[in-house]
Amino acid sequence: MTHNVTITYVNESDNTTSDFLIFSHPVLPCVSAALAVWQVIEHIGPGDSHRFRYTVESQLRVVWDDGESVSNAVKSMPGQGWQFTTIGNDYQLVADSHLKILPVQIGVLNAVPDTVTVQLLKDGHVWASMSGVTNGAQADFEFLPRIWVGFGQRPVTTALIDFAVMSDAWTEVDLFGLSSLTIAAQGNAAIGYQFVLRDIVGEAS
Amino acid sequence: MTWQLVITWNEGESSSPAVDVAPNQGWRVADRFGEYVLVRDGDIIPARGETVVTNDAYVLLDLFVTSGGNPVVEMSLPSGMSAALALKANEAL
Repeated sequence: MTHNVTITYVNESDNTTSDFLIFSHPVLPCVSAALAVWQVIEHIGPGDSHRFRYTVESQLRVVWDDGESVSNAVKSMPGQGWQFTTIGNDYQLVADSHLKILPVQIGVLNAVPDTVTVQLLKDGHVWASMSGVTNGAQADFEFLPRIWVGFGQRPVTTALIDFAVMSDAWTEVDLFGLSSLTIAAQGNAAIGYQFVLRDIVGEAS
Repeated sequence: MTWQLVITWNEGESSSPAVDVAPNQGWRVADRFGEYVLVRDGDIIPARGETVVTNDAYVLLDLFVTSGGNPVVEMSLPSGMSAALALKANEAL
């Protein structure tokens, strides 16, 4: 896969209460599901649309100190290795051409004393995250150009209950070989919502 | 501490019998000749400690959660959507 994919979400349904959620992996309904989402598209009412992108290139960054500290971000393609290391007095993410990884992977070796979280971002949003990466450990990311979409709401927390409402089944969208497509939400709250794919354009077009 | 679920439809004019629920349970809305009821469904696997209610019926429902007879929360549950509930222990109730 060599091209970015431009995805247009169109709300042709009656939904005005839920957000359009996009995951990088399949999820089951649970309170924390919306916290692991790749992108949350809000405020797209009936007739509205929103464009986003699946990028071949990813961004990497490292988070530590309970999320208080964030490294420099670097752009990375599959097959590239990185090392999170100490340069002078600072922690930095630098290229490491000697790191052993597969051509379809992006790898990060943690060479600092802290246990860290390595995040891989696409389109400016966290696509995948690996926490608890200890000194000397390596975080390898391997991914397919595939997303799962549906409706959902951010979790609500009260004194007695936490809850979230979301699609029971998520619609899988395979982006391999595509350069653009439209995902249209259709239906209503009584018959249910469907996500229809159309305007599909291949890479070679 | 006990928890109950009730669903209503027809803009609140119709309601199901209340059912007692507990963490780690899955529930599904079943259509009984135009009446909707909550039934246990072992095929629904909730996240640890949570309760999941799935609306499989072709109707827009309101889901009410109560505890000890006291209302806790109300939510809209469209067809084809699930509510994930993390019930918290509170012995004060």
